[in-house]
Amino acid sequence: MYRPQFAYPLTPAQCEDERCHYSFDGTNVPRFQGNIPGLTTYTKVPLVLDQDADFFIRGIQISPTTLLIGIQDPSGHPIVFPTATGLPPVLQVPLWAQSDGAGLVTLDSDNWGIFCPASGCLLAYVQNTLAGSVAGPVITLHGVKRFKGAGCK
Amino acid sequence: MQVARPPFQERMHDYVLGPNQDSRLASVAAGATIKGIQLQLDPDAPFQLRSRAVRQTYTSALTQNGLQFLASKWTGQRGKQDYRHQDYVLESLQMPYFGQMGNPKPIWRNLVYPANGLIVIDIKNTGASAITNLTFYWRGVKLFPWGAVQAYTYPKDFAAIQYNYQIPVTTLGVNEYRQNQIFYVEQDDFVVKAGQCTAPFLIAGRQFSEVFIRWKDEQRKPFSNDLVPLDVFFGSGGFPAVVPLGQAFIAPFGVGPCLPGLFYPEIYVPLNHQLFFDLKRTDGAVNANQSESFTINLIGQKVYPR
Repeated sequence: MYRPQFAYPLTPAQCEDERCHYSFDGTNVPRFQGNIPGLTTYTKVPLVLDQDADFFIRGIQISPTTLLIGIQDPSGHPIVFPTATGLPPVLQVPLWAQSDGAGLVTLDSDNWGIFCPASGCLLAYVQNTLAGSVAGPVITLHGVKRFKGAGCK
Repeated sequence: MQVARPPFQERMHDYVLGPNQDSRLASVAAGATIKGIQLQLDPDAPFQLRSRAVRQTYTSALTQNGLQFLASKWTGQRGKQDYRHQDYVLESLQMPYFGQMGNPKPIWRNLVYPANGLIVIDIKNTGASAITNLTFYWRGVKLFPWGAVQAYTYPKDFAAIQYNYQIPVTTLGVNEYRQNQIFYVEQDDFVVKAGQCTAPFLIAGRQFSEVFIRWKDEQRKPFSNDLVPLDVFFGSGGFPAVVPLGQAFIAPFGVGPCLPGLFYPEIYVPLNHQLFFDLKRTDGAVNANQSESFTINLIGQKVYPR
């Protein structure tokens, strides 16, 4: 169950927020189908968002896995620091996104969340450091879609 | 979003009360009662107690099997007789998870102890076996006049994004003490708000559980009076240990152990600045213990000045 830890700011006037979650797995991301081969790194795997509204990511949840995973926002900012320059920006899932549904997005700006414009595209980095293959991940994004009417800021 | 400035400059601080502070806590015998254990607070600032935790050394089966029998009563800010309990209360009834895994039990309303004050605790082990290296953690903030301690903050105009800054730690020996390790911010500014770390584990006789950390600012002024275990300071989504609850051990559930441990207040680290930390491991060269590598993840936001 997704439970935000803090009160979110009110929706701006003339806008309407609608709770939404995106789920990316082998059914909608070809790279996540079946198993990820051993000692393999996939970079910039597109996770495409809907066209109807902007989306604010307020929680990231990834299925328990030994894969190292990272995400880059639609503006090109990775949200994980690589262990060294030049390496993919990936991290062990239990340390940042395996949270039993508790969001780990700590932004507390007025819009609170990672901003993704409508039809934006997140990029995923997936690294299998083991010799054997590992099942593809399931990445779930929790947040709100912001539908805009006239005057919505 | 406008937030009122608190009357004092708060600085994160954890007080540790364990065998290093009172040797009687090294082993609390079955049935023993120990009274008048004193935690001497620092003279530099009053301390606002916000939360608590308690821990003992893990057994070779990766359990803390004595905590469920531990009862205590402790004092507030008005001196040695200001007990906050009418009688001993089991710690398991005072706080779920014993405040571990980055989830210390909140104390509300916060208690403000004077500089150079004392916290006194009496304990009773109601169990049938000794409790080893019993340690209490009093977590909160020191209260300074504004400007008394160095602290950076946000620029007037900026953009920010959620960010995870991982710190890989390689081959920490079974009895190793690494001091003044550097966390260096090399991309934009970074605000440390929370942290996760590799959870304790027991794999084929290799135990990784007695590992401690002490954070320091860039002037090497520490954020705690002693080292704090990783599994008290940080959360972890993959926490494998069972948790004592009442008279039984259960798997972690709900919103407890999977949440990140919080840095409060947050620590703003500008680009090209640094924090320091000490690491210590005391698992010892027993069974198949060996040097282990693990990762600390600092969670917060990256700040882009405009």
